[in-house]
Amino acid sequence: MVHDQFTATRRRVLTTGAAVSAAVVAGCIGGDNGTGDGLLYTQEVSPDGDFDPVVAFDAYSAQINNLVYNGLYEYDFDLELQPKLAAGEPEEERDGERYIVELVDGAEFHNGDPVTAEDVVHSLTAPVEEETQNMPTYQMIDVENTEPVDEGTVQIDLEHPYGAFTEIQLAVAVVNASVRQEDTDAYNTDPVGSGPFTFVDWASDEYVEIERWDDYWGDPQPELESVRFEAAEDDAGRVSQILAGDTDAIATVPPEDWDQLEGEDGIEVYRAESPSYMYVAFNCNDGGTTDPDVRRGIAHAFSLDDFVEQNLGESATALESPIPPIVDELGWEFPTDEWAETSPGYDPELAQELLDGAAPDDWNPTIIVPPDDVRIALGEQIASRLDELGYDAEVQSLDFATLGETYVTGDADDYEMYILGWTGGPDPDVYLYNLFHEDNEGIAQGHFYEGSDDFHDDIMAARESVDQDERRELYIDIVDEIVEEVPVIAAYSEHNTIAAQDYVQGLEPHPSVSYNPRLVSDETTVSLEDG
Amino acid sequence: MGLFRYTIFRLLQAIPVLIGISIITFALANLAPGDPVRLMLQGQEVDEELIRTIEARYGLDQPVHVRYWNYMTGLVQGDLGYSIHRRRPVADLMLERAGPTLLLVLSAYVFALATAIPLGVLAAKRRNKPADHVSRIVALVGVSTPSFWIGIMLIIVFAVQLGVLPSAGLVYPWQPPEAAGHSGYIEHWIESIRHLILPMIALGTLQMATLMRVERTQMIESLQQEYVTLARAYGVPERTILRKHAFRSAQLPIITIVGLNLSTALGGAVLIETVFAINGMGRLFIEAIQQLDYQLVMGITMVLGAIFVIGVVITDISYAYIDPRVTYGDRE
Amino acid sequence: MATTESQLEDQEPGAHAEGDTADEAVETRVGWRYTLAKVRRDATARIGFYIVAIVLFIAAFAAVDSNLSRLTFGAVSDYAAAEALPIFDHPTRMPPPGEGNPNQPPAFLDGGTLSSPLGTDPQGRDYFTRVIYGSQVSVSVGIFSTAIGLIGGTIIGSVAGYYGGRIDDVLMRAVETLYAIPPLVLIIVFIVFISGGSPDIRFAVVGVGLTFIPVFARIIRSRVLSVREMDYIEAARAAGVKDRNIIRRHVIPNSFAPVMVYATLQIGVTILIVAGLSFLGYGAQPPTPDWGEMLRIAHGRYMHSNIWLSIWPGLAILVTIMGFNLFGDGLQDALDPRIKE
Repeated sequence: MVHDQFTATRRRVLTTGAAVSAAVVAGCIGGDNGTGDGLLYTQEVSPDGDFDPVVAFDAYSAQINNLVYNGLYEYDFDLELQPKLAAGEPEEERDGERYIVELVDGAEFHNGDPVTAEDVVHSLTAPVEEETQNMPTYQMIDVENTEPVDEGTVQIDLEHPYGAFTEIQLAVAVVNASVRQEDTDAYNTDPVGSGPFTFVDWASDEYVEIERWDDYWGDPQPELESVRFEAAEDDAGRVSQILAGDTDAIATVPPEDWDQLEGEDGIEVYRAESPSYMYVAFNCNDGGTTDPDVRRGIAHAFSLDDFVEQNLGESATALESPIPPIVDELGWEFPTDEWAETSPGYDPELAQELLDGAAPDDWNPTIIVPPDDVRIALGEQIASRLDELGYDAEVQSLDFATLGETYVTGDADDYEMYILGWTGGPDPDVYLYNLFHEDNEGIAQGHFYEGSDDFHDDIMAARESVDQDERRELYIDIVDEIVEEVPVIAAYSEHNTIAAQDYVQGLEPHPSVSYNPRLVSDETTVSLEDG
Repeated sequence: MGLFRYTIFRLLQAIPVLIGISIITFALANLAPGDPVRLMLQGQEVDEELIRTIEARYGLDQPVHVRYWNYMTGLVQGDLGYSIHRRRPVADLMLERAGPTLLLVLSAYVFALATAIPLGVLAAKRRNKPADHVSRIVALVGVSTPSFWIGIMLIIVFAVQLGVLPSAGLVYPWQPPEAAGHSGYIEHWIESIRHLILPMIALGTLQMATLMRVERTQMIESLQQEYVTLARAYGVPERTILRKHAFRSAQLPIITIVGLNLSTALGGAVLIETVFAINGMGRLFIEAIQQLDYQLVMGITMVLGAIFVIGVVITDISYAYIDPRVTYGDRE
Repeated sequence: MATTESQLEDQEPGAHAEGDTADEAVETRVGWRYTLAKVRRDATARIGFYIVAIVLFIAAFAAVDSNLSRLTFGAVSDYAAAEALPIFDHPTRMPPPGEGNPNQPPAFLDGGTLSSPLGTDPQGRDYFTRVIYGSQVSVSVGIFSTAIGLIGGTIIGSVAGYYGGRIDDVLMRAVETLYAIPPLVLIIVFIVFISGGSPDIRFAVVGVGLTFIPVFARIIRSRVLSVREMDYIEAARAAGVKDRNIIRRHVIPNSFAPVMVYATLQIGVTILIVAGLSFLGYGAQPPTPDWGEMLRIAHGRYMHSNIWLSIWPGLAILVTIMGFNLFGDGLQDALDPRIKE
């Protein structure tokens, strides 16, 4: 039950963002060009090959899983939760410690088994019972008391109330409990779901193939006969392929090439906001950046808007807070404009003054970044500006594996700044708890920001409350403090982009990476125009 | 010593080198800082007991010499270790990924030999004439240009600007057409060749330039040999001299160099596979390095070294086979 | 003579087979001046010499750095580069917000200006200055790592050649083993494992240098083998001169000429390898303007939107290496007249 990007452990941070690139594989390119009703979809990364949602931990396996399985609830194109296998809204009881969900009638797995409450319970509890990598997402579930009430009704109990529970956990993909339990290992590469497509075949680092399930129980019906996923890590390679007609659609249009592809006859480009959050974090534990004035000075020294416009163009928006706009738009109505005003903007003179006053003698900060050219460029941009102010900053690009070891040490010799990204779910909790709370010090965050007396308590209180108004007030306080004290600079939110041949109809990027390509949904169903 | 015994002798001679390679790869991987188990767990909070269990499972709790011994005995049985990161045996991954690399390297050699030998002979025949100068300039540029840049230039011209050849990936001729999404064998093989052309040229240019230089020098030398002069004096036509007498003996060093340059070619494959997004051992090596997947890195280094050693043995044997003068030399 | 080892020697320029007479070694020592005179007469060698001289001059000039007087590898910022190059007065640091003119085409195209002859990169940095500054990294890495290979190889090769026997066997076996692993692969493994995953150009210098010790060791060894048998060495030994002194005073100087030739050619090879390392991300780290690193970014991000970024650094590598190759070939021809053009 992966919520792909929505899980909260450390590897997630690392495998996120535009250039997941490093650890990644490019695939062999077939040459389908729109003949027949198969879609060839080329993306950046091949899946790890975990087609059991209980185990799957990478967004690219989850993409396949979201076509092969149905969710209990699924996200629409605004990231709002819509029932799929559930019959309607969940009922909340016991102040958010119990949820009751009714299932729809008539839902079936590929092998003909009906989808039952038993399956849903198994999908929710297996990650915890088997301690898979997805465990942290479902940790608050009370495994003992989560049980079927009857064939079509599920009762989910929690250890404690969790404010984001419905938004995050109820989008679980539902596995076939009996088939899975028979041979758990085999299930991983021979999945039985209830989704519109069935799994055909895959080869590690090469391709995945799925085909339409003609007896799909749901509505609307899938139109594509089959879909083949291949990977091309190289941005330039994907662009070449779509230009040459070697593929039907590519995920993630490189920002530099957006204009060219947009102007190309026969190719359409699409874009959707996503809950992605890239940031520059400061080491608040050790070194010069423990002083808030140094952090403010750095924030004033460079222009984020300018950087984003120059390097990401149409593909990203500059951020004012750690909460991406698409999450805010779900109804939170945070005072984003106020935060924008309070956030330190580009002001080299003020930066000089602050740094000269607060920076230690011989201050030579190290900025560590992943091997992603955009974030390297952001590091260089900051270093160049500090250089002009008379401070010699060094940018170090580290492999993801090394970076993961390094950015949580809290040691100023290792880093005074790091630039990372996080793609979370549709709730502020996934950003603020994982990336700011002291529980996650040295795990998901390496800034070790202590904050005011209430800072960490507020994050926890908001996490464990189901009173959304109360949560909103708490989050405003928390973000106010972040904007004021600058333990991190919220940098930008990347969009999900797709370029496709114009004979591909109805393709729209979904805000969640793991829902792409969204081939069958109430809003749009993808098909190939005869040609 | 007969040819058969010489073959056996050369194979036995290769064993110490293979052992040496295993020592080097093992030493480098064990010098490395960082703990593979912790890296595998990616910093998740785990208790020490779990770490020890995993260490015991992969034999990481043993002292170095025991681990090396285990590694060695595994190698002898064809067991290259287990990639903890990918949860698969290294040997399986090698089998999957060796094909594209070998295809690339072999075709690069075919390209290099097919161009270098005629051009080298021509240059030697027309020594100090325009054809010679041109071939020398080509050779000079060839040895001075980074292969990956040639690849980038070829992509820009043929894939980006002209759009006539694909810029990424390979199509494997040994796969069934359906696996590559093709409808028939003809299409499949045409696609295989189209995908191979650019990377083949990029990787083969350096080899071509090196071989051309050698071919030219050797031909000049052998054309100056006494028996050639003698043949000329007897009125043997120049063409026959070239083909029968000079050419054959000049090819021997070429064979040697083809073998010895395997190492450069395999190293070049890492770059070319990166430029052309080919899923071979070179890419796998870079991925393994980025993931700090020690076992996989050791496995790839070992296999690359072994390919080189076997390649040299094969060229040595074919050298001995072709050149009757070789006495299957007992080493001094 | 069909062993790997003897064939390897065939390849090495300037290396002589073991049977070469002692007189020849004497001749090469005496003949340095003669050699240079010959090089001067050879047109291609002269071109090579000029290219090398110009590149070295540019590299040295770019290296004079008003902010950082020390020779720095890793963290030379572009800002420093701009100040170091008064005649090329272009900012190669990322220009401040609102300044700079990103993605300007080269001067000979529409929209190009003479002040940025090769155009600017997408960050607005002058590409000409970056390419020029790149020579510093390439050339200094080439020279330093060749020096490591040369020194290490001289020590190992002369010890092996002079003493012969088991020491020789073991050393040469080790050398042969190192030969078997593709240098690029070996160097990357070395860099990553030694640096603990944070590669840096300094590790690349050492790694490349170590990898080429075997090549030099071989050449030195074969020279030493021929020098060892010479009468005056026998005489010195008989007179009780210490081995160490014999090696230092007689053996090494007598073996030097072919090694220097090889070193010149090797600098070219090294630059090629370091470019490859940087292209894969294991050499120079950004923002250091290094040709391989510039190509990495140009290929990865801008191959469709700005092809010029891929062209210039490659041409720079080509010209530089060609210079070293021409010069080295000329030296070799002059030293070893067996195959005279």
